[in-house]
Formats: sequence, structure tokens, C-alpha cells
Amino acid sequence: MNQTELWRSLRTGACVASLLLCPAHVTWAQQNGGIAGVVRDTGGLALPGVVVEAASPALIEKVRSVVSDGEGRYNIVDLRPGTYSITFALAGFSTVRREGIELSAGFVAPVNVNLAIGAISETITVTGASPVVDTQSIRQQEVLNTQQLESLPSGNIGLQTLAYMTPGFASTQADVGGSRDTWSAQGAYTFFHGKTGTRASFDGFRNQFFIGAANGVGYVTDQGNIQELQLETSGMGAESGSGSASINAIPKSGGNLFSGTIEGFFSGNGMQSSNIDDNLRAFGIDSSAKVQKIYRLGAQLGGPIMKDKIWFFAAIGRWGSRVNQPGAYYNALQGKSGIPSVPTIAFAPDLNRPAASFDWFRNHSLRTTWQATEKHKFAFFGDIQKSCRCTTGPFTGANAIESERGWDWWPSGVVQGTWQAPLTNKLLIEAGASWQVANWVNFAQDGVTRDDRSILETSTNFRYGATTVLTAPVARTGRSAQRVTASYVTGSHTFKAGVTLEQAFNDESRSRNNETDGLNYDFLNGRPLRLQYQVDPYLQQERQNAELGIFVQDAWTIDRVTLNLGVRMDYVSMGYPAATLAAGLFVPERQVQELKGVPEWFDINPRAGVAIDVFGNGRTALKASVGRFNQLSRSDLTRRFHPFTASGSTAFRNWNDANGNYIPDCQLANFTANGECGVMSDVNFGSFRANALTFDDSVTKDNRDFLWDINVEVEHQIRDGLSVNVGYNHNWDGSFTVTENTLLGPESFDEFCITVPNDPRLANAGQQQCGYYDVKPSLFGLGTRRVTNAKEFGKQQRYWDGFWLGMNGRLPKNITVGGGLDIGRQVDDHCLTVDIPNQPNDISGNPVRGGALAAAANAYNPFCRVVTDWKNLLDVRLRASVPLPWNFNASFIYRNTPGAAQDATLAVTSAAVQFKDPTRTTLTTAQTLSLFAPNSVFGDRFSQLDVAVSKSFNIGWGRLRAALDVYNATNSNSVQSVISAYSTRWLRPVGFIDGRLARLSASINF
Amino acid sequence: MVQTARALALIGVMVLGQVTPALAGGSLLQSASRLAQQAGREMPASVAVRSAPNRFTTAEQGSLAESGMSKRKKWFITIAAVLGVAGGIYAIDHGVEDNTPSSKGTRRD
Repeated sequence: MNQTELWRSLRTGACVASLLLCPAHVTWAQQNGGIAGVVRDTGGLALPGVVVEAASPALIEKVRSVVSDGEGRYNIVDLRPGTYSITFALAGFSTVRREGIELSAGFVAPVNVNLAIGAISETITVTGASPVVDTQSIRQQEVLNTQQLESLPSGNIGLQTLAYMTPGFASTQADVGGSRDTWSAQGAYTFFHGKTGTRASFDGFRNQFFIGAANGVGYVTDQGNIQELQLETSGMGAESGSGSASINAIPKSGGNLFSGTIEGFFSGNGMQSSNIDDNLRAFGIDSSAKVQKIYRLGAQLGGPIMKDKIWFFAAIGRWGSRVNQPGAYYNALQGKSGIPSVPTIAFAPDLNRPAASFDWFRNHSLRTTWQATEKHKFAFFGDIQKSCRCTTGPFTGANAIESERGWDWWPSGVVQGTWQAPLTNKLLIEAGASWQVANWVNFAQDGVTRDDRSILETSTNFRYGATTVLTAPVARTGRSAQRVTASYVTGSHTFKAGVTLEQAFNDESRSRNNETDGLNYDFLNGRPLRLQYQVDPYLQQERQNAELGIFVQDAWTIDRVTLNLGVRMDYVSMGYPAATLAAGLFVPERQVQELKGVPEWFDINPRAGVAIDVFGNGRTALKASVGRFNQLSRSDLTRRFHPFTASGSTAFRNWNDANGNYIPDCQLANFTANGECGVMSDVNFGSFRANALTFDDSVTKDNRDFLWDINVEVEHQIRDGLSVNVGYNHNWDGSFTVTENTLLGPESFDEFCITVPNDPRLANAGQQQCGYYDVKPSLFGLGTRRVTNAKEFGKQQRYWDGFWLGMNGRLPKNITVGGGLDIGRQVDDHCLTVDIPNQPNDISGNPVRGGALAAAANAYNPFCRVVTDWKNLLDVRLRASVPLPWNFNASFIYRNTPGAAQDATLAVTSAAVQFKDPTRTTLTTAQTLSLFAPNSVFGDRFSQLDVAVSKSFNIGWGRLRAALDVYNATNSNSVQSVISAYSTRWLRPVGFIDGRLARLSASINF
Repeated sequence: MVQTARALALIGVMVLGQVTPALAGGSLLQSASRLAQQAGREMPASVAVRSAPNRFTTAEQGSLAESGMSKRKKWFITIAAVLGVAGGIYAIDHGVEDNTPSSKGTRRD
């Protein structure tokens, strides 16, 4: 697909969305709220036939109405977030109006009323605190609305904002007032309660790349478009597709009055404190992150094109950041080796050239809502954006800036459209479609020439010289989605059935920075160690031909009990298109035919739960749920299966640079040992051998990965507007994939031991530690590989047990509070033997790491049962916003989360190991080994306090708001990640929270 | 008399309501809707039990659309806002370091 075709696709998507009225402002009913209850007379008898009308400025149709059933029950579903008034009318009774019902996404407000005998023309207006306990839904969720997002010190607002404030999400690199680049920040919601794969959506349509593990956000949302953020962590109904948790951004729409906002913020050089202390200085860190600038300018305008008929909402945004990273400098020795084939062989920081993370975004969007007839509403949305993720996010300085790569995103965008039709007051039909495309390409950093190579210093795990790979010249990915649902709602039943369908594609060409032979180098203590090969040219393509979901569900209310029952059928089929690649230096011409059905999975996912209004007063709910969820659909299996990859696209060989000239004196295309070069690590490299990697049907046709999620929760309203909830969660993964070498078995490996460095910080310091393995030299690089289900070899497990205590309050005087405490324990057990005893390889051929929370150390280790204990998974996050006199407002967000996992890996050569077989003395290649079990040692806890003070001014024709946010107000220097490679730099912080930062914000609403 | 009518209506509703929900959703719905709408169109006699302030509205916000200003002033403010935003965006777009291949025209896809 070239750029012309891409644009054509975008236009086609827009046309499809427009013509078929496929996707978006009418948010997916799952994300919308509702109002339900019982109407009785003053004697407590149920009243049928009461006309119940919900009115709100948020509704372009102004009013939605239903009629109470024979038991006096009514149920209004699919209401946009907003403030509602509800009117209850019945001949012979006084009309009752209940006002000020605050509806947020996904919340079903229980509103019960009693009608008194009287004239219908008499209206009794009743007010009270808006309900805060949802006594019918079983989903566990968090919601932030515009007002909360505005009042809290939220940094750059995006999908990640809610995860940031929600206890239970695995900690990621902290953001200090937008100091973290937008792209990687928006992907900071991967793990909740150990579960992998959070579904991210924009207006109910999935918003993630179809690339690899698919966790990255696909469409970066302009915060000016966001009305609410909704997070569902468990108890989702059958309408929820793949993914173990779900985050959704609900967009703003226009209204019957013209209104606009101009807003922005700025942090600059001089608005940040240094948080370097003696602890950091002891590691040689003498500078903290320095914000050069973090900025945003946004404008939104909404209003009627035709009153009560057509609304519009337009938004434009510019934002970006440039932040010098601690201890990060350009390489003073870049390009100065004097060797043409490897211009850079060493790294020395140029202290006059600090290196910065750097990104910027340009968004332009338009939404229209059209109430075509009384019963038919349409919405359309389009956003076109250009952005530069100019350094790989997140760039922290852990590696040299020259090893980063820039990401040029253009054009990227999304087109969506929806149709909603309440055909009767019981039957609601919805349909929608979405088309999302990202067209991108990598580029090298300043100072890097196309002769430079990426060099990894294995003793410190520090990379410099150039990026490992450039995704160029072609890279694009896209996703389209369609859905149709029908809801039939009576007072007691909310029945819903629907179909969802998604397609996706991904094309990525990959090349090495060095254009001559494409080799990267591994060094050990500054000396050549290995040559890293990659075939070139190389292209990977994946297609998700269909991800189909068909579901039925019903919420059935019987007295105080609401049963939530549903079942979902999930089908997914992927493949790749026909392609031809020219011959390269190490590989012949390659050709593949189109293939579909890899994988092809079919699953039945039941979901069930019960919610009980314990005392019948809407203040206390007992909820329990159990559900089976497929993991997020993603491309990594198809990617791995594709013959261009499966035939061996990468490999390494040892390099003994005997003459010290940093030039591999051997025939590079001769893969047998010759000159200074050893044999290749994969005999299949470069041969384009179709059976080099095979997949069992147990992987491609069955056993799609899934998880079970069980929750029990009690939620209680302790006073008007304030509820607390306490709950228990147990979840476990249900399917694992491993890769075996068909030639090898446990007998193919020799066990060896090492002497643990004599460092008191290490367990077994100075003692011999065994359980490490190396393949017999005669078998090195041989064999073909097979991917299969782990249960063929034994039982692999990952499970979580945990409790939480949370609160959610909308108190008098506009005080809002939220947050809570979450504590858990995760066990990952992969003690099964595939090739190496108790050390299986995953689908990518890498050592199983030990659970979703395990550190990234890609090292073999004998610790196959990894337990992350309670004390290391205690998570506290609190937030509050308090209006003060004279239109001031104060707010804070506080996070206290587990500290950085402190793993230890050791790069060893033959001299450092002792084989149990005394006849063997050498390793086939240098190895990186874990010295103790991952996730068993953690550093000091992480804490961050952000505060904000704002003042609003009524300027007659609008409102001016000015705010001062102070992020990391305590100037903490909590460490988030450390170097795990055992060396003099071991445990040196590579990620610690940026110093205290002030931010000025202003907005004008008119 | 009125009370009797109300009592009769209540009894009727209760009886109908107990018979079948379907019946309740049928003709009774129509008549109730009609009556409610009719009553709405006529001048309703509102009996406010309590005032109903919006608890979640923070600072008062004026609105340009409802400010009572002359149309000319509103246009002036609107145009000034648009020009201000456009100027700001122009300054940002031309001030940011843009070394992307798409801007430099070096993309090869």
C-alpha cells in the first residue's frame, strides 16, 4: 500500500462511515449511562404506566422517555454523560421531577420515587444527592469527567490519565506534568492485577496498533476532545471484546448554544527543581531531568448548525515537550573511530551537549451530530494528525541518544460514524464503524551516519552508535471496526444482542542503520564479542481478516437482585498477503503466497454476575461476577509464523577480534566458522527454509490465550455523595505458548555453575550457584523450532489474588474524592522442561520471563517459580478536588506504589563458569544469567504528590480560569527502574521521577 | 370530587398494573403520555419542595451566546479569538524543530 492508496483508504473509510452510518458520537452503549428504578404510590404500591422522561442538555433529542412496567419498574439506557432531570407523570397523580442526576459513563443511577395523588399539572420538584452506588451493574469501573480532569493536576490528559490514578495498575515511568513523551505515556496502562492487555478505545472503538503485542495506542487523542475517561477493570459484560481491562475516552459533542474554549499550558526552563541527593550522587548521577519546555495550545468550538437538529464540535491542538534526561549526553566519540566501516566504536559523554526526549503533535478534528428525525440520530467524527515522536519513547538516557530512533507519523487519523435509533421506548438499535490509520517511518538521530552501527556493551547493557533497527522505508498500520446492536429494555430486563467485527493490517519494512552489511555489534568490556545479523531487505506483513464477536446479554432485575447473564462468541482469523522480496547480501530472493487462517480461533466466553441492592434503598450493593476473556487480539503469532521471519531473519555469531582492528576479518556470508568469526547461532539463517519454524495446530487452531476473572465486591454509600467499596479479585491465565527446538532435549545441554560475585547485596554472595545450562557445542545453532502449547510439557500458571479498598465521592460544595488501596500477590510458575530443564522459551524464542510484571531481563535463570509478594504489590493512590472561597479550587493526586524491581543479571564468558561435566570448559557463546529470581527484590517505594490551585473569573461573556500546578510537589526522587546488569553500574537508577515542576495553565470558556 | 377522581384513577392504575405489564405499556401509556404532554403545554402549577441547585457547578460561567452583547461585539470577540489561536498555532508550527522525513520530503514510501 503506497501513500496514494493510503489516502484512498482514508477517504474510503470516511465514505463507508458516512454512507453506512457506521461509527461514533453516540457512544457504545456499554460506555453510556442509564437511569433505572421503581415508581410507587405513597402507599408503596407499584405504579405501572408512569411516563418517565429523562431530559438533559447533553441530549440533542432533548428528552428520552419510557413507561414503567407492571411492577412499576422503568429503565432508560444509553444516556450520554451529563446532568439529567427526570419527570414522572401519571394521570391522577402529581408529577414528580427529580433534578440534578449526574450520569457518568457506564453508571446506572438508581432513582426510585413515590407519586402522590394529585393533579398531573402539579409538579413536585425533588432534589437530593445524585446516587453514587450502582446497584444493577457488576462492572468495576472508574470515571473522570471534564470537570475533574480540569481541576486535578492531570498532566497531559490521555487514556493513561485514569490508569495513573487507579490503584492496581502496574507502575510505569512516572509523568511529571507532561514530562513524559505523549506516545509512550498513553500506552501506560498495560497491566492491571497482573492481567496483560488492556483494551484502549476512543468512543468505544478499539484504538490500538495492530503491531506485535498491540498495547500501544494507535490514535493519540487531543485532550480537548475528551469529555470523560472510563476505565473498566473487571466484571465487564458479554458486549466487551478481547482484553482483560478496558479504557475508553468519550468525546465531547456540541450543543444548542455556541460555546468555545481556548486553553493551554506551559512549563519552561527554570520552572523545575533539581532532586539530586547524595544517594543519586553515589551512583555518579549529578543531574536530574531538565524540562526545556512542555507546552500546549488547544481550541475547541461547538454549537448548533441547526438548533435541535445538527450540532458540531471542532477541536485543534498543538502540544509537545523537550526534556533533558538525567545523565544523558550526545556521544563525543560519535563518528571518530577513524575506521570507515565502523565510524563509532566507543562512547564518551559530551557534557556540552545534553540529550533530550522530544516530541510534538498537531491534531485537527471535527464532530457533527445530526438528529435526522425524532428517532434517528447520527454522528460523524474525523481527526487528522501529524506528529513526531522524535526520540523512541520513553527515552530516559538508559542508552545513548544515538541509539534512539525518531518516529515520523504522517498521515495518521481516524474517521468514525454512528447511528442510534430508539425505535420505540423499549427497542434501541445502534450501529457504527471506525477507520483508523497510522502511516509512519523511523529516522536516525542527529549525528548518526548510515555507516554507523548499533553497539551493545553487554557488561553494562548500554547501547550506543545507532539504533538497532529502522522501520523504514515503509511502515503503516490500520484498524477498522463495525458494530450493530439491538437493546430491548423493559423495567425488569435490559436485553442486548449484537455483532462486532474488526479488521486490521500492518506493514513494516525493517533495515539496519548500516547500509553496507547491516551488522550490529556486541562488545564485552569494549572488545568485540558478537556480530548480530539481520536479513535485508525485510518486510513483515500481517492481516487480521476478521475478529468477529457475537453476544447476547441480559440484566434481569428481580426485586432487589439483578442478574447479569451473557455469553459471547469470539472468532478471529489472521494471515498475510502475497509478497516478494529481492535477494540481499545474506539471503536469496523470497516469495510468499497469501495465507489466511493463521491463527484461526473460536471461543465461547461466558460472563455472569449478580448485583444485590442489599437494603433496597440504593445505598448498599453486593456484587459478584465471573467471566472468561480472550486476551487482546494482536499480530505477534502471525508475525512469528510469517516465512520471512520464521525462516530465520536474525542470528548472531561469535567474533574473536584477534588483531584488535574492530573489523570482522572473515567471510561474512560464509556461515561456517572462518577467520575471526564463529558459526551462526541459527543454521537456518539466510536459507529461507520454510520449515525452520513450525506451528502446531494446538497454537494456530486452538487454545487462544484467555483468562478467567472472578470478583466479589461490596459497595456502600456512607453519606450523600460518598461511597466506599471493598472487594476481592482472583484471575488466572489459561493458555501459554512455548517454542521448542525439535533436535534438542534436556540431554542436549550441559549444566554449569558460576560463583556469585562477592557482593553483600546479592544472595549467595561469593558462593557457587548452579542450574544454568549451555547447549553442547556440537549442537550449537542446529535444529528447527516448533511452537506449541505449553501444556504439552507441563503446567504453566499465572494467577493473582488481591483485595482492594476504594472510595468515590461527589460531596457537597463540589468536593470530589477518589482512589484507594490495592494489594495483591502474583504467582508465575513456568517450571516445565521443553529443551532446557525448567527454562522454557516463549513464542518469540526468548526465555519466559516470569509473569507480566517481571523485569525485562532477557536472561536464562533457574528460578522458574516467581512469586511477587503482597508487600511488593501494595498500591495506594488518592485524589481530591476542593473548591475554596472566591472561586479558588485546590486539588491533589497522590501515588504510593511499589519500588523498582531490582534484578541482577551477569554477563559471563567461559572463564567465569564451571561445568559439572569436567571435560567441558567453554561456553558456546557468552551468556547473560539471572543471579536471583525476578520480582523478588524491590527498592524503596515510589511516591509522587501533584497539587494544583486554580482560580476562575466570571468575565461576563465567559469564564477565565488560571491554574498553577506543581507536580512532584515534595521533590521526591523515587526510583522507577535500575540497571540490572551486574557491574559497577548495577542498581544505578536509569529512571527516577523528575524533579518538582511548576506548570501554568489558562483557559477561556465562552 | 377531585379526590374521588384521583382515588378512582389510582385504583384503575393499580388494577391495570396488576393485570399485565403489556397492558400497562399499551393504552395507558398513550393516555398518560398525552395527558402529561397536554399538562406540560398548559401552564403547570409547580410546587417546589426544595430548590434544586446544581451541586456540581463550580464557578459561574457566562456565555458569549447569552451575554446580551450586540451581535457586532460577539463577532469581534469571536474573530479575535480565532485570530489569536491561528497566530499561536502558526508560531508553534514554525517554531518547533521539525526534522521529520515527511516535512523534509525524504520519505520513500
